[in-house]
Amino acid sequence: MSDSHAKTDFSPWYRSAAHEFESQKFGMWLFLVQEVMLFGGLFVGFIVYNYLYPEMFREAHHMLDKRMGAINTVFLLISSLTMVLGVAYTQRNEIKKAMVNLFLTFCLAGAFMVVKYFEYSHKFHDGLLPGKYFTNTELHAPNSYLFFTLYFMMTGLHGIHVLGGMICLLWLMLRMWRGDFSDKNFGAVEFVGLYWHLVDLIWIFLFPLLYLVV
Amino acid sequence: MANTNHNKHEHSHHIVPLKHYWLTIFALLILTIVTVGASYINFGSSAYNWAVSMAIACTKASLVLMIFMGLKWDDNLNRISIACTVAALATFVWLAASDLWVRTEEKPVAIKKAAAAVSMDEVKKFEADASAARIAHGKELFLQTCATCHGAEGNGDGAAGAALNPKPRNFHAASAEWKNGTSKRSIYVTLAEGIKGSGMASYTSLSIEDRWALVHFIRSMNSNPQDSGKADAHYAEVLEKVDGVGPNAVAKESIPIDLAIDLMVGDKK
Repeated sequence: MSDSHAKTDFSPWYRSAAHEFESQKFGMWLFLVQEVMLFGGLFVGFIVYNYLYPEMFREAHHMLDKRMGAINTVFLLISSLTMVLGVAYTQRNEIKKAMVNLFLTFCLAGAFMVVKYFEYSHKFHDGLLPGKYFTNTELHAPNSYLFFTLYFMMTGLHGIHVLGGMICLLWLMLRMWRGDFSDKNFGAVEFVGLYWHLVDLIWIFLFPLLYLVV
Repeated sequence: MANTNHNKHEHSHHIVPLKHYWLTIFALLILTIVTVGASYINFGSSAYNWAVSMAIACTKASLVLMIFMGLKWDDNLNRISIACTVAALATFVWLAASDLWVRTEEKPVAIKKAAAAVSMDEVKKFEADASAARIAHGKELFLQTCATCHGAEGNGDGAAGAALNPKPRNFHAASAEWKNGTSKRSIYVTLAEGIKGSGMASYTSLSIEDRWALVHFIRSMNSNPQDSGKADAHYAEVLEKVDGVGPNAVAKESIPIDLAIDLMVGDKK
């Protein structure tokens, strides 16, 4: 089987370009595994407090806009598609299509952040803030701030990851513009893609937990 | 590490036909609609609603992992890595949840005041009681606790004491040779505190009553025990600080072992 998709040169401590590629991919997976544990800790915290204060969580979560959450979910899901298409087209050496898809991914990520911006401003306006900054008077339970501490921590951390992803996408687009990528060299695109899918994965769980479940 | 996988790793990177991606995004969007719709339905209880919601989320996650992230076509460690991570996270969730489920409201543990410390009067009685019965009891304790170093006859020639320096006291020796003297109170102090710089330890594990019995027995071994000794002045302080007896007694912080056992057994109810 011809190794037509391998890079033609690779670092000498690897047996082959394929070996290098697989090692780099594994490295990215290890990073993703760590990210899962990072968010996992927050999820466990959410589960614990939700279990302890079900009524408070129920009342507080109504302050979140389901529609905005759903729109953001759709944005991220489609961005995952455009991301994987960006990888797929690079693998097929169709660089223009790849570029378009990377750009779409970037825009959808931006759209996600815009929606987040509106959500957050609305919360700030209503005094629905984390911890000691909570000033809202509508919610009855005295520990309602807990929900918003978790909300801002989880969506905030996720938002930072989205921004990080956008920066990586810019970097990819720049390199692609410079002609760095081809069907012989697409590792970076694929690995950023893996990261981006993880960001999407996390939101797949955040959305029902925070916005939907009662 | 991957010598057995050597050949597998090095075939060409698999190119996934695009149709997989179209099908997947379609499924993901449908499932999103489903999960939003399901959030309006009450499946019976909060637990069931959660279960449905998480089942849908896990299905979506599997699609992203397998198709978009390519695990379906990956044949190496990546699958194992993510599977182990999910298992680890599931374990944390399970442990947190199972702890919460069995929590009941906290019951304050009523610790009755620990068995009252021995009173001053009782101590005086122990001090005065040098009857044969007490001495016999003291001898019993001596053979159990002291004879290994001091010898069965109290000659200071016990096997365990052979390597000690200074050597264990020969209780038949003249009073002047005893570190603290041969008075009742001095011997009591020695038993309570031990002797610094020697192998003589403090025996507070023995009760006040037992230690007094030992005092009487030890004195009975000596032909000329004195009425006063070098550690007499220290006696009151020892009673207060070490044994918690007397007007300025320091309350002991530990509770008796049998009370502790009762409490622990009771906890299991």
